[in-house]
Amino acid sequence: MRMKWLAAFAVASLAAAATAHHSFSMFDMKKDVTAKGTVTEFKWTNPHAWMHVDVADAKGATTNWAIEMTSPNNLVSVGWRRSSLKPGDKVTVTYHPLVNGKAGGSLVKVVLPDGKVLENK
Amino acid sequence: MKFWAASSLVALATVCLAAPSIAQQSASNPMPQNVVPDKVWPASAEQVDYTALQKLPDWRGLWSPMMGEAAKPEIPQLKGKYKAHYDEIQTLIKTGDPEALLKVERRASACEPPGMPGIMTQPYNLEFLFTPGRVTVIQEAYMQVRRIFTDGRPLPEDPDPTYNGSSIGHWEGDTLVVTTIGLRDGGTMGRWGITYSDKVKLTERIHLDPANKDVLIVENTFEDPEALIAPWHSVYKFKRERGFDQIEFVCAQNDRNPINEEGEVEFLGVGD
Repeated sequence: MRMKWLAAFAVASLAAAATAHHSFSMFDMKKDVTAKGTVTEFKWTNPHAWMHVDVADAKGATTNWAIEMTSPNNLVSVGWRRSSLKPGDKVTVTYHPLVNGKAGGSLVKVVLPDGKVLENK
Repeated sequence: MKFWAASSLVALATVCLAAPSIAQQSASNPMPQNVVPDKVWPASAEQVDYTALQKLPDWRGLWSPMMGEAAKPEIPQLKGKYKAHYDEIQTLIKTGDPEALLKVERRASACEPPGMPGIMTQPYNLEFLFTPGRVTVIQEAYMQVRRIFTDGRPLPEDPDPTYNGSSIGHWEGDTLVVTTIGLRDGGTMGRWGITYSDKVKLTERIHLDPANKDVLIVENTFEDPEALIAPWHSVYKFKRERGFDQIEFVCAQNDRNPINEEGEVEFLGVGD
């Protein structure tokens, strides 16, 4: 808990420290994508918390995205709770997308229906 | 092991009161009937002295690794396959390949623990517990445990290699000096492609920073007759947090990052 995840990544990318579970090289960490969507699932689990979000493209086609976060152990220190998200919530997510183009990414932050911002740290 | 011996009478009594089927299972237990412990060491002895703990330094709270403070590691003087491995990973790092480390340090599962000394610097925190004759280290990530016996016992003569090895320690003033052997061949001394053999001996000197009692310093010295020409040193620093407790962390709960046959970490998204 209280470990700064992105700081850990920055050091890890310099080959000087350990990542706990996996590296972040599967994500395009230099690219931030922001999208509005509807939460379909929120998993408050280890080793990572996850949210699934329905996002509609410009043509109206909806894709269900899997967005990975760090762990509940870390997230509680920046204001997250297991009740922070629930299916049906309209949110704005910012994430680093998967390099392979699949519908997944690593969360940067989420704007909740009430405007509160929760970061992935 | 010792626990079995210590609790065998209780277990036997329980078995005698249990259903015959359980008794039959116990009869096939491979543990020999005549094993008696050579000696009960103070950490497990009936007579214990808790007052000695009052003299130990205050290491309470949680300790988070200060990775930004990590000094650039020494260049190790490796030999044999361990040097070849190091050279390989250094070449990969120079290519800028972000997967360089993973390509050389393959694991069977993303939930597989790093072993010593990686357990000390996962990006979560450590907790130290003092009991008579023993220091226990708990890593929040995957809830890993190290047992350091400070009750005068010797190191085991022929330990099975394990992720965290077998550790004994003693106090030199406020410094805990720990010796660890019995680590698995190919484990890493640090994530720089520096690996050890199962003959490695690690000595840690663990103490508070004299200039800041909320900083813990771990000075590592690795000696390895098969991997190293000369001892290799590293230093870890940790910052104290007193306002939090560790939280349960079961890595198998929802692991969606399996490692495939190529050693690559996967991402199981929706429908995968």
